[in-house]
Amino acid sequence: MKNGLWVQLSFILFLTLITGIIFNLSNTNRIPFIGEERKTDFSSSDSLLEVLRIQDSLQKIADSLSKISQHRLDSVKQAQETRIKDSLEAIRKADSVRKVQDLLIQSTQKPEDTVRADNTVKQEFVKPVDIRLNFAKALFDKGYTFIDSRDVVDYNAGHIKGALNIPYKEISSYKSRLESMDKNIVYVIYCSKACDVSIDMAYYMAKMGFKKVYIFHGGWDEWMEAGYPSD
Amino acid sequence: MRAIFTNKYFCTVVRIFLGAVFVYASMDKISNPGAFAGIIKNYHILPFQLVNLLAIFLPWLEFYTGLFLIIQKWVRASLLIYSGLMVIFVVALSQALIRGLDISCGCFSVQSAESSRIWLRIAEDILLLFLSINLFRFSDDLKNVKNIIQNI
Repeated sequence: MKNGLWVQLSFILFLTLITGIIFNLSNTNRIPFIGEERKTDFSSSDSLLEVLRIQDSLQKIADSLSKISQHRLDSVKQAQETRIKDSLEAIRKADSVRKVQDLLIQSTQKPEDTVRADNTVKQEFVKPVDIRLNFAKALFDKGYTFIDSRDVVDYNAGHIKGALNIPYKEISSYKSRLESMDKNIVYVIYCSKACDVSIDMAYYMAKMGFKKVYIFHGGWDEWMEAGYPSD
Repeated sequence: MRAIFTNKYFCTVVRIFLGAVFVYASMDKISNPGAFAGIIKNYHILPFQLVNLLAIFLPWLEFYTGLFLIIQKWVRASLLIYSGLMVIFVVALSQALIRGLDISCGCFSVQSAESSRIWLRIAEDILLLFLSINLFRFSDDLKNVKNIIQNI
């Protein structure tokens, strides 16, 4: 009987092993037997912060240069205005010729070419970037959109000032809202420090076609500890 | 306790109930191994190399264990696996609760909207563990079980 129990246990485990392998190999939703590590890479965070700082200082230089050259511009302006009027007239003439040319090209283009052109417009996956607190704060100061991926209860208990709440656990009901959002602007996704929903959310958005998604790994806990603006 | 768990009608109902729970719980995980792997990963207790293996095989182990309990085949072996899995689930959920992890349980569904009230899931699992252990203890072959344990 003792042997019987172990045989039964072994048989159940063997059956599990065989079925699992066969089913996974034949399944359309199959996954690799050995998982891949999702590494957190903060290397971009520091360099992007540096770029942001350089951008700020360049903006300041540009502002001061524009003030200096303002009075020079005034004198040049009058001369330019007359030249612009002449140029506009020439452009108008050229435009009308180009429109006629475009119409001719469109009428001769084959329908297959149009289909092929549509197929080339595929949603490009841009990997979300892992960022630290200092870069998240810099983005906050620039006024970029923050998305809190925690539950409504956690969000209501406290969140980064102005952050939107899109709970990842209810992502299916927020899909239309995400679809309506601009996919080419920066979004910073966060949750708490001990959670992965921000990562899941960021990759979900990246798959939807969002191109500038940042994952703030420190999340609400780090933000709160730093005493940064919150609601 | 003995009187209850030696009642054959009660035992039959409990056995089928336990089996049905496991078969039901395995269905969604079998069809969505990727999503289930994501849930396992969020528990932060396994090395990444083992996550997918567990996501592929655990649902099938649940399925066969549940199926054998329902059809009354190899009941004691199934109950042994059942109890072992329940202990693992309770430990995994408890560590998540203690560490304050904001995760989906992955108990019955791989949908991210599944209730995250971990303490409720722990209570459910403890109840199932209690039933499976007692069903195993008071099974007809109690003497043989004792002999097995003594011989190990």
